[in-house]
Amino acid sequence: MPIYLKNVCFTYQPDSPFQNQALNGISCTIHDGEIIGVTGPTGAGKSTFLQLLNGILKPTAGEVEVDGVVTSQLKGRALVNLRQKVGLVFQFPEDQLFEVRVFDDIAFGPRNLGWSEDKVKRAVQWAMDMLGLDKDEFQDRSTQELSSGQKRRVALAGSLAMRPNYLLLDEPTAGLDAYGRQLLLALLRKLNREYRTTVVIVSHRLEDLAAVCQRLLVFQAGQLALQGTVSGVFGHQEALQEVGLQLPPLNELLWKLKAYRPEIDPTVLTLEEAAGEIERAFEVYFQGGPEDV
Amino acid sequence: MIRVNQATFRYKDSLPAALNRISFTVDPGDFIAVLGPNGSGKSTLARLLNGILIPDEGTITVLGMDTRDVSLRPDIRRAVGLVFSNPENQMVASTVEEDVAFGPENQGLPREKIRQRVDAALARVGMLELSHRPLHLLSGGQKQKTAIAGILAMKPHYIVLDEPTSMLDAQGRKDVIQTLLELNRRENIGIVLITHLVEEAVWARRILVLSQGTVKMEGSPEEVLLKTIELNKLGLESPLITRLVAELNRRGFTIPPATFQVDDLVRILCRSI
Repeated sequence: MPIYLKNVCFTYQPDSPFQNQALNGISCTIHDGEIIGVTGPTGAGKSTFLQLLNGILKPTAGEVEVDGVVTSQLKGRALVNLRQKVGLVFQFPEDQLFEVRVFDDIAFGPRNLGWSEDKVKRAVQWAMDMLGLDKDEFQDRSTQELSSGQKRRVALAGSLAMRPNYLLLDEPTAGLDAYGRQLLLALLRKLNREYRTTVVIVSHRLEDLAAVCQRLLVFQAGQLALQGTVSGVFGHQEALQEVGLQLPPLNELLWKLKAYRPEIDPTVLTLEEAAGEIERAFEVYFQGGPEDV
Repeated sequence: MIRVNQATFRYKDSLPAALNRISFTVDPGDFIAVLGPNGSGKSTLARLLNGILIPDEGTITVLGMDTRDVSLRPDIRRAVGLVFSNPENQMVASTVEEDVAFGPENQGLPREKIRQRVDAALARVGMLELSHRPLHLLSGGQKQKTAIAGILAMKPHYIVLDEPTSMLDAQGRKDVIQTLLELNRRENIGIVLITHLVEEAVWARRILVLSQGTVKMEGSPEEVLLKTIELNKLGLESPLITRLVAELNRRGFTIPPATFQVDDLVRILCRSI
C-alpha cells in the first residue's frame, strides 16, 4: 500500500526559544513499488521527512498513513511492526555497527522482532547474498576489521534482513567511490524489481537519483518546491537553481547548449540520449570535419 | 618542497601495509590531486604528509624537515595544514573569527598580529562578512571555508585536504574548490587534494592515482583521465563529460578528447556555429 502524507508539519523543540519548523504542510504520496528520490539543499527537511515515514518522528500536525494506519496512533508492538515494514538506513550507517561478529550485527534486527533462530538465519543469509557478502568468508569476521565499504554493506544487510516492504536511505552513496556507487544503485534496482520493495532515497546528488528513480520530490525550506518525474523536474532548471541544487553535468550541459540550439531536449537522462540530442543539433556543423566549419 | 621517499605505513603488523613504498614530491605552489577508490590509502597519506603519522619505512621531508624528528613537528604542522572531510571535527570555538584565531593564539602572537592574520585569512576565503557568525549557523561549505581560513592564519606553505567536499552539497563543493584554486594561483600555496571524485581531480596540475596502497598512475589530467579502462579497473571512472566526448567522437565529431568541463564542451560546440 502507498504511504500518504496529509498536510504534515514538524517542529523541533516546539514552544521553546529553539523552536525550529523543519517541515511545513507537506502533502504527497509514495506509491507502492516505486523508487522515489528526495532532494533539496542542506537543511531543507529531507532527513526529517524520512524519519516521519517510519514513525521515529511523529508529525506535530497532519498525518502520515502507512499501510492504512496513521503513525501517530501507533504504540508499543505496533510501532515495532511499523519499523519492520519501513526500514531506515541512516547516513554513514557503518558508524552504527556494534556487534563483534558480522553475523550477529546483521541478525540484530530480526532477533529483536522475535523471529525463530531458524528464520533469523535464513534472513541473514538472504541479506548477505543480496549485498554480495560471502557467508563463509564474512559471518564470523569482526565488524571492526572490515574496510569502510564492507562495513557499509554489513549495515545495509542488517536493514534488509528485516525484510522491509519500504526501504528508506539517507545519502546512501555519500563517500562511496564510483564502483561502490554503482553496486549500491544496482542493489536498489534489484530489490525494487525482484522483491517489489518501495525505495525512498534522500540524496543531493541528482545524478544518482536520475540513475534509479522514477520520481523526485524537491524540498526547500521545509516545503515541497517541486515534484514529478525525473525528466519533469530536470525541466525546471531555474527553479532548481533557485533552490541551490545543481543539475547532473549532462543536463547542465544540455541546458547551456539549448541557449544556442533551442531544439535540444535538456531533460534526457542517459549519456547515449544526450549524445543523440547533441548529434541532432550540431551534426550539420561537423559534417566533413572541422576544417569546413 | 614535500618529498615522500619510499614511504611504507602499517596500522598493524598483521595487516597488509596501508601504504607501500610510495614516492613523489610536491613542489612549492604545486596542485596535486590524489585520486583513489575507498580503502586505497588516501587518508593515511594525508596524515603522513604533516607528521600525524610517521612512516614505518622510508622518509617524508617537509621543507627539508624530516617528519620523524619530534622537535620539528610544530614547524612541520605549521608548514603543512590539514583539512578533513568533516569540518565540525576541526572546530574549537563558537564564532567564525574565534575559530580562525585559535592557531595564531596558540603560537603566542601579539593581539594586533592575530587580528591581522584572522582578517586576512577570512578575506581570502570570502568569509570576512561572516566573522561574527556562530559556527552552528553556517552551511557546510561555509564551515569548510572557516576550517581552511584557520589553516591559512598559520601561514602554511602547503594545504592537504582529505575529501574536503564529501559532506557538502553542490554549492558547497563548488565554493571550496574555487577557494582552493584561488589560493593556489594567487598566493602560490601548494595544494594536495585527496578525493575520490574525478570531477575535482580535473583541476589539479598533476594526478596521482592510488590503489591498494601504491601509486598506480601518475601524470597530468590529460595523461591520466583519458585512460578509461585502466581507471575502471581501479574502481574509478573518467569524468562524465569526457565519456560524452568519446561517444560524440564515435559518432563522427572531432572534439579534443581531453575535454573535462561542461563549459569547455559548450565553447567547443558553439564556436562552430
